Amino acid sequence: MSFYALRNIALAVLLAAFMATFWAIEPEAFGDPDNLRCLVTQNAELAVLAVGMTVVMLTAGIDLSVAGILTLAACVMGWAADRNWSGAATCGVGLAVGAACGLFNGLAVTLLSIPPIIATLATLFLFRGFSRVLTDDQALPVKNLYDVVPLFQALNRSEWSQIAVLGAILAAATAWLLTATYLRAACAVGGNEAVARYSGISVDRVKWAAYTLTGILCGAGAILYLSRSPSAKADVVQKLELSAIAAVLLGGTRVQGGEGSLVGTLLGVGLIAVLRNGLMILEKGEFLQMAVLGGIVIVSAAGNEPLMRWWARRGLKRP
Amino acid sequence: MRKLTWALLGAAALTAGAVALKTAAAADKKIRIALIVKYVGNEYFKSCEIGAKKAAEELGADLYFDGPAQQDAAKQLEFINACIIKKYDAICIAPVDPKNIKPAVERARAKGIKILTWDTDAPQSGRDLMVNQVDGVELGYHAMDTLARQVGGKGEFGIVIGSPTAENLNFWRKHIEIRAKEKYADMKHVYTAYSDEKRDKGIDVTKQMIDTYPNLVGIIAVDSVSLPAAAEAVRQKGKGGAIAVTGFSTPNDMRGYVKDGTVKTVILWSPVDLGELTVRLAHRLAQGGTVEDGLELKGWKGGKLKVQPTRDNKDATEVILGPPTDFTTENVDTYNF
Repeated sequence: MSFYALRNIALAVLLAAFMATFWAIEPEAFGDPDNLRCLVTQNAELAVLAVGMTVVMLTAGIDLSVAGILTLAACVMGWAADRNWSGAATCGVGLAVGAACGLFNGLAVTLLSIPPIIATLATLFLFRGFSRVLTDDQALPVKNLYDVVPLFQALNRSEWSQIAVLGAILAAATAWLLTATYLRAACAVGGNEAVARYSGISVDRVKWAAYTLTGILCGAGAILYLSRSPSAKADVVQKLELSAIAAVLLGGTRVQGGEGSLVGTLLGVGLIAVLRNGLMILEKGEFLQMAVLGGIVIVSAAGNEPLMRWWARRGLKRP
Repeated sequence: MRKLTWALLGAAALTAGAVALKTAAAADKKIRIALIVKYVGNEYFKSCEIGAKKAAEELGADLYFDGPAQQDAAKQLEFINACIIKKYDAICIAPVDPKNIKPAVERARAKGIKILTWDTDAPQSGRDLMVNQVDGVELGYHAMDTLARQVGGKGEFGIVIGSPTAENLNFWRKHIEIRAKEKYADMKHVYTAYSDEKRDKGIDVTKQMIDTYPNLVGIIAVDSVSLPAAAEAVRQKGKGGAIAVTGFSTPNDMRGYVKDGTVKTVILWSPVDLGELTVRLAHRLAQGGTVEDGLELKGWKGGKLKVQPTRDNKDATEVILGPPTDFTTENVDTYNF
């Protein structure tokens, strides 16, 4: 069994354990199917952003601007809704804005050779700044989104439809990643960039694609966000990038890149979702949620490298 | 394989511990009320909590008072959903964005949960009742009248407001502007600045407004964080006395600015009373009672309740706490909220 397969099983068991614990403390609340639905829809953007983040981190990069891209995309969508654009056109412009932002990040990292952490930190402020200028500090759309765009009214009324959209986005992203044999190239670039270049992989194109894909996923995240909240301001989804990075680290993807697991990331998202939901139902407040999240990320990140070394040694000992 | 075994054992231990915890807690049939604020860590809401706790104690009800760490509509909805799932008897919300709570309200009412709004309304959401601290029209007019009196009815003025979506703040702002147009033709509203109910941002945007409009004679700040921020900006710019500042905030937050003359009048109501009335009304509704004009609530010292249809939706009802109170150097020390 590979390291990641075992790690994912352990994560899944841990996830089940937390769910069982919370259920044992408050069976009525945690046994309510409504709660499970809420859990999924309230963390839909996180899941989508975390998938993009995984791919970027596999290339030994990082994208701190994901929350900024989502915000800008959502604000532009709000702007469009105020001008009575159709549901399809509004979603289209959101994805387009996401793609454009992702492209910009990719070019900054490849063409301008700016280290990803610096480039995306700068673009985080850039995208949030654009949002502030576009919205003029208002919440867009000014009109009620759920009255003006029938698509969003339908999404808002039905949590199942939101879950379906989330599933569709994840399926589309995974399908592309697997069929384009992109993941292997990304891991090669992250593992050893020089070797990847000498073996004929276009390193720049791989990196640029990672950031653009992430940007598109952020645009999709904006659609999911607007399904729950009818307007966007320049300061929404604060610090969501940190939760996305936390989910990726919990899932076992290495910060140095080269190795990781998409399934692990999704399990990481699940773990974060369950913990936050559990602490919310137990009325422990938002600050404790943040503290617990920080704690488990530290434990997970600290334990990952020793775990990998132990696993490797174990393999060597076999005759 | 061993790792898996340890994980399963750990899970079993956690579950056993949790079951023990749960059986230790007794189950009783008290009325459970939740008050969800716009965000926590705010002096005004902390004062509301004092009144709410007092009422809950007197009524023998369980109270859950919480909200998101920042003014975030999506996060606030998570709190509301959690309360619905926990089947609280009544949930009282001060919505960050009135447009997003409608599905939650419908889900709650389907479960027999009473939904109230308080402090700020969501008139189109189908909530059972709104507990309003003042008549919003009266408050807007009163703020404009106060400023006009201080500047002699002439000049340019600006507004600082905490949120573009909060229904209460924007309702008051609208009526400040209406009053200015109808009664004070020589006063011109030149700018609205947004503070996001954050002190630092409030100070910055007020300073920018003062720089952009050198003929500014007055500022009205529409929420409890924006007013001290605007006053601080005016004080830092050395414009105390040249620019009149008034608005809505608590005596505790404004005492320093009232005493040094930067702000002559602060307008508010008692947040402690608002919290108390909200819990009392929630308790009454949760027990199946109704609220009609002239109602005398047991234990409520405020007398007969004024109940009226809301301005923005004739089918929705609101209860008015009372008229606004002015705080000046004469009485600012007698209050502790």
